[in-house]
Amino acid sequence: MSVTVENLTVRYGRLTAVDGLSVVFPPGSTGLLGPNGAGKSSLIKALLSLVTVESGTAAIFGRDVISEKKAIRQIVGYMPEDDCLIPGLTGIGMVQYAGELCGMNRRDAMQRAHEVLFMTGLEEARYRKVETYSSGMKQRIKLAQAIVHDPKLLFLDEPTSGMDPRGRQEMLDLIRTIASGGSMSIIVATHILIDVERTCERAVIMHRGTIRKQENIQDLQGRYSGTFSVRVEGDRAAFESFLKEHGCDIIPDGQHLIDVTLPEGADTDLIFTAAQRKNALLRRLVPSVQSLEDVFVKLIKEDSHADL
Amino acid sequence: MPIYEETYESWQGRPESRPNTWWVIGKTGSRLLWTKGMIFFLFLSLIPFFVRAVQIYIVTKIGSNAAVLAEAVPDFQINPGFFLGFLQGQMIYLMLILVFAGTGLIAKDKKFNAFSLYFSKPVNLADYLGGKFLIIAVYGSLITILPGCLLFILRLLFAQDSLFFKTYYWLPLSMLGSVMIILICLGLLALACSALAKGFRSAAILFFGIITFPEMVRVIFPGIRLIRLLSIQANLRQVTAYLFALEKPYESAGWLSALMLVLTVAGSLLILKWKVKPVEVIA
Repeated sequence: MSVTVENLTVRYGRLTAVDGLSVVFPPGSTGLLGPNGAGKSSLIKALLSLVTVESGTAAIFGRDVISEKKAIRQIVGYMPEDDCLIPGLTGIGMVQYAGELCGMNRRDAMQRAHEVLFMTGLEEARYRKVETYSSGMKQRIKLAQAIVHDPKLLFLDEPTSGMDPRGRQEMLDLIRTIASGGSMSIIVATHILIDVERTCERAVIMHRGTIRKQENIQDLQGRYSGTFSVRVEGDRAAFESFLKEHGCDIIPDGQHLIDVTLPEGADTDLIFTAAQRKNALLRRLVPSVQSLEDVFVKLIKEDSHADL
Repeated sequence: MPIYEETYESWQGRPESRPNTWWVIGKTGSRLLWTKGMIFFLFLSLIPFFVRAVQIYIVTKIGSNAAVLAEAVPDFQINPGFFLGFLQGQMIYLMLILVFAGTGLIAKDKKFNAFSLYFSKPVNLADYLGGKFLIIAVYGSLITILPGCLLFILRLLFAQDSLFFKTYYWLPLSMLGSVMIILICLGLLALACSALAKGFRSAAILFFGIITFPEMVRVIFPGIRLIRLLSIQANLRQVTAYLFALEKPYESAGWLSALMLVLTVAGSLLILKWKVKPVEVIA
């Protein structure tokens, strides 16, 4: 396993950012999904020992993240969320510097810096001071400094933050390219679901410092396949209340459509029965295509209901 | 023109198992300052060295007349006071380096959120601060201990006998000790100001204020011992005079000045530990 976390808790004063979290990240690319404040960045920072862990343990490739933090940082790459640069250096200088800090000799670091800057599309701007870079270029240089030493595990914290649509697409392509190499495991922390759908094999959904779901993306989308997009004419309120009484979950989808999720064991007969009993005319009944976003919203909604 | 495939390729080399990251930080930072006109400062700081070198030449070459000249002009004597005077004169250049370059070393990293980049690499607080201090130590040494030792060697080369060496063989060690004390106190204080302030300019003003304000007050009110103890420059003069086996410039006990310098260093380290963190946590 790439990363193993057991009962990890991170607190900032009275705020609990990560709450007794246990999770395993297998090799490959994993999306760490969650709304803002879910604890994604705090989990990554805890794995890099950038914040103090209050309790619990975590290991990366079998090495304890606290007692062996220097060794771990040598085999891990980190692309932070915030704008961050090492001032005064050129693009090539900054990436070379990052390589040297990870233990590469000066010559190797320089050669490798040229390679990764070419790969990230910064070859034209490599001799410019990093302070003069645009937002998109800053994201790319952050990625370049994170991969210069060819880490075994790469943490990307909101990698498309602040990028225009074209730059965003290019960044996702880059992540996919790195992931397809197979030598590096990647954990992408983001609240943008489509980024995870496009780049990752698995998704781990976090909310309020805990893990809500952890599955392959296809399985996660398939889990909620008992959802149908329905349009009725007639007494819609009675139709909906009948379905609710029989354990269905109903989410309005626009002015006329509703998404009906059937309870386990039920099939579409229940919807036909509801229409027949409540004198409603079924105009549409199609399986709803669940995006990761639907799954995500549903999980967060379930979480809110549980709190009530 | 070569055509490259835009794909990710693994690095086939092997990194050092325990990289000396403080050395990498110090080396890169020193090189960066060199490209930013530090060479001008270094040339400027060599002017007193050449003046003193000429002085040594004159004093050693006029032979028996040297005693007469030394009696007439006490500053012409080549003794421990001469070397201490040289080091104290170089303090102004050291201060310029610390104000214009030293105070920006951490402040600029803070401004550009560079801490998370440094500390996600195999760098801990000691490595980071060690690297930053190395930059100050390199340039500080180039304008103090290096020319100081060269002056000592020149004195030996120009002398006709070995009497000077037999009498003052300990002078290089005194210079080394003094420079170390000066660099540790002022260097760490500059770094602490750099970590404490929100920007490079405010860090420079803060450092300049801490160094010069108590000294100005001491000059205006020379009789107040407490103010003298608050002046870092006065304390450094007191302690370095002891290392050169010279009479103390002030009446107060030497150990009190040493204690104040130790407190300055301890306070600076505490500030650095408090302010230099990988992640700024606002709870």
